[in-house]
Amino acid sequence: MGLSAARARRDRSGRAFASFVQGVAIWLSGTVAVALAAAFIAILALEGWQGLKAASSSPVGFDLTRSLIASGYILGIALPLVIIPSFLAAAAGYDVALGGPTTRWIATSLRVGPMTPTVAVGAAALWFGVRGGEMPTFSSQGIVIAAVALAALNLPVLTRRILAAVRDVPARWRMAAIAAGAAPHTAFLNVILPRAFPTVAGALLATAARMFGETAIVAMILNYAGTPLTPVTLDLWRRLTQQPETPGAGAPLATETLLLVTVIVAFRFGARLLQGRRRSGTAT
Amino acid sequence: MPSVSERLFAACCKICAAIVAVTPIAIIALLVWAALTLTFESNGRGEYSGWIAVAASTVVVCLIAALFGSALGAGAAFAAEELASTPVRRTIEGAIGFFGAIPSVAFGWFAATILVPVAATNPLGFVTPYAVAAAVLSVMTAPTACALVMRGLRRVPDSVRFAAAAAGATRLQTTTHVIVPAMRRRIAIAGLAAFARSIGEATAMQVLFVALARDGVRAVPTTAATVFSRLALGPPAADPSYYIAALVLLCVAAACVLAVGREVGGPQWA
Repeated sequence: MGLSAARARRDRSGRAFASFVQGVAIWLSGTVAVALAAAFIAILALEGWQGLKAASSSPVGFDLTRSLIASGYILGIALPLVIIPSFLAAAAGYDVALGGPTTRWIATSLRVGPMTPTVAVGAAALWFGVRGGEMPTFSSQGIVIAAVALAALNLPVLTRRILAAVRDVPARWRMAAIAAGAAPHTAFLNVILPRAFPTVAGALLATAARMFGETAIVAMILNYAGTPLTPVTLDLWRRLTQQPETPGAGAPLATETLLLVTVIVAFRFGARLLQGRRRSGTAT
Repeated sequence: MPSVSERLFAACCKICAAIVAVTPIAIIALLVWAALTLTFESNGRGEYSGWIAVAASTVVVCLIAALFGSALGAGAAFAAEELASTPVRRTIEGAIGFFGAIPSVAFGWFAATILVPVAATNPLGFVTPYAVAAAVLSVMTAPTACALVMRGLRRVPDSVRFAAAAAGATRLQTTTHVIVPAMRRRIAIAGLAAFARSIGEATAMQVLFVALARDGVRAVPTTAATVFSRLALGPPAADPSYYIAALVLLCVAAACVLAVGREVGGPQWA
């Protein structure tokens, strides 16, 4: 009796200790995540601001306009290559009446597609551009190959996001539209899509942000093609890896990183806002 | 009888769905084509001598990163979903979301600017560069693990929490004695997803290892970083080993993701 009571007491105190340790670990993880993010933002903001001040006082200055235009140029080619097929593929994945047998194929493909390593896509695109087709003889060919590779990387991601957005709309809307005599494509375009639109627009913004920040593919292809256009990520990567370390070289790096992160966070914030609007309107 | 516009729309949908479905297969086919062509052209004289060290460094770094990344992500998910008040939950979610949003080259900048000067003194000996690489990858993979665990937590019925509360358990006790044991499998799956995410990471690792080399710390980079630097910095590689390495990375990541997808019905990657 005494022995089992002592064991039960020891058991209880052991459980309480385990609970305490787990609680500390859980809170520590949350705190570390917040502290790391705060440190990252603070260091980036401070260093980036100092870089901006140094650039404004220097006679040479520091111009990122060309890099931003180059990024916009590649995005301008790649985005339509992603948006239109993703939207139509999501429609096929949503309704078997639109997709036929491809509805099942796409479900399988979307499991693996979104996590394809960027180096694999970059290597495949480099091979396709250099050996499969002709070697890029003029720089715009390199830009087109980079844009196509970016599109190939993001196609499954955006399709999956759009598909998730349209599947979030209650099925009764589709059933009501079909019962009222609407064709499957009419039900998708006129009933489902308007209800999923904020989430779909958020997914587009998030994908644009991902494409804007992609480095490996852009660097592999444009570095080889010798394109004079250097998008922000390529410019930053070159400064980080190829230029010799000189005093004062860190300031423009920080400014460029700050610009890159600010643009991407702004895109993602916009996406979050749109998705929040959708969430608050889910009940409709 | 479907109208012309309906048939046209359905045909476009099918074509685009086929394109999306075929994209990963096309990437694999191109890599196999490259590897085979270059192997035949070089009469099998590919440069494979350093690859064992590269593979070993990749496995070790990615396993440690997956371990710490999934612990950080899962812990943050438990803190946000189960224990924190709404403002704290939003702060934790924002922090994890921030890490999920920023590009890998920015992680590379952070590692090169802040971590490399510390690592240059070699505080941990030969382990130092791998510890720094694992630390950077842990932070990069935490959002993936966090998203998976959060999805799992949202599926735990509230009745479980109510039952624990009715039995007199506090929120912390409910979390540690009821929710965490129920989520063990999901946490392991989150670790696998974190491994799949970290094994293909190239840019941050390449920037980190270049910065370390500049500061005199020599280390064998990870596979993705090796493939990236060789294909981006040199002339078009006539060596099949880089394409084979890219193919292996793709296959390992795909195998991990299929295992994750079997458990949770498809991971939330971004």
